[in-house]
Amino acid sequence: MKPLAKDIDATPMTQPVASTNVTAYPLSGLNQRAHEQIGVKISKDIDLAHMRRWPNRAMNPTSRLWLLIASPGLRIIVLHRLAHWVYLKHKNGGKLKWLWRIMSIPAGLLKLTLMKLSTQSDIAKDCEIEGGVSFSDQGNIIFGARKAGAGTVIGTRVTVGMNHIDKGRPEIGRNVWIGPDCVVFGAITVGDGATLLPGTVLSKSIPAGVVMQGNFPRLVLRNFDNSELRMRQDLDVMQYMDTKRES
Amino acid sequence: MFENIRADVLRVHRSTEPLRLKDILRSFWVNYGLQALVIYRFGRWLSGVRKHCFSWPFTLPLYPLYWVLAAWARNAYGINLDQSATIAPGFYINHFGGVEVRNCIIGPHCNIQQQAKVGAAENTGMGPIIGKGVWIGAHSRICAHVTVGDGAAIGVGAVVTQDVPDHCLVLGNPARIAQRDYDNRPLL
Repeated sequence: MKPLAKDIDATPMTQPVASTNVTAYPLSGLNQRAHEQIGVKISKDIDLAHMRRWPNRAMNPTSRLWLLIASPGLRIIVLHRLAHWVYLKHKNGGKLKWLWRIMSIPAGLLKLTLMKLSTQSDIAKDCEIEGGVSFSDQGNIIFGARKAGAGTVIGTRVTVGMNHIDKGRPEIGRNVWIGPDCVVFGAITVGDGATLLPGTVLSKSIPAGVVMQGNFPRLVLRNFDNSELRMRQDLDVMQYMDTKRES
Repeated sequence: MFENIRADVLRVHRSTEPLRLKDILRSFWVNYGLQALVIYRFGRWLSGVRKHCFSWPFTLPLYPLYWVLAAWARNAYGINLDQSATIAPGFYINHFGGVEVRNCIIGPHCNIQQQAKVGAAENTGMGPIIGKGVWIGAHSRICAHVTVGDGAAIGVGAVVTQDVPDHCLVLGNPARIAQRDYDNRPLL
């Protein structure tokens, strides 16, 4: 089959020809560089969590390492990165496929003890999360999005995507703030920079930069900059939104 | 107890065929809701045999075991199936975390999801009565003395404050009927 013109244009010139490692996940890039990539992604996660937790503290290796131990939200995303890496290796792997199948057992055990039982949250192993995503430290998150963009902040008691019954899974853009008690389900797209205020139940696609609230969801604001919400944990959200709505 | 647990295991596999031992063990390993449900059934069985005096020497040592297991399910999985609830066989808990079931009567073949609260306010004491084959979505609350009809579907995030007729889909806060004659069998 002849490749389409846009497929050729989308392929970078430096990319070597992948012979056996034809990946079903174009977002996760080349298989050989997966190890590097998860390191970079985890580093971005730590940066975001550090900025959110200690806004005034200098980011040195000691405090970053301490955050990795202290913050449950950071722990679950790091464990997901490990499990997702093993999953991709097994999925795309050639000769050593059986090895990654075995490696998925300790990865699953780590996930069970440090993610599921201690924070009651679960992240599906096949969802692609870009670097720099922050999960709430309180846990109780069920996360099954197909993709999630960088800079997204997810609150406690959030469900994204449902189970196998559901027809599709949501796709979350970059810089999205999802407040506590939100549910996002169905084959929908949440646009870049969208904000879901606490208690929203969303089952329809929303464009970039909007603020939604309620069950059924209603539009509160358009073209809203949610960087304050994403970067500050100690904000009284409802009060802050009231001041924004008046102005 | 064992008939009820058997029905619950069959619900996990969505089949009525006889299962192999491997499948049964795997369903216990994978499904935390099933583990919590077995602990709940064990507690119900203990309180059931309590009325026979001759069983006390055998069952009284099992009470601390039940308490420890129930505390494990409550804290590690976040699934709180209180003994004041009456749950018919064929109950299925889909995800873990934040499930609260107390002071209510639940019919057979029901389905509950994460963060769903089914029970009563502290002062009234009597919770909802839920019919057969009801699908209770994630983050929903049924915290009043209401009756939910057979085959109803409580939508995601719904807060039920009034009676729900049979085969209805309710959505929203407060819950309103979104669709009558709704077939929830694909969901179960």
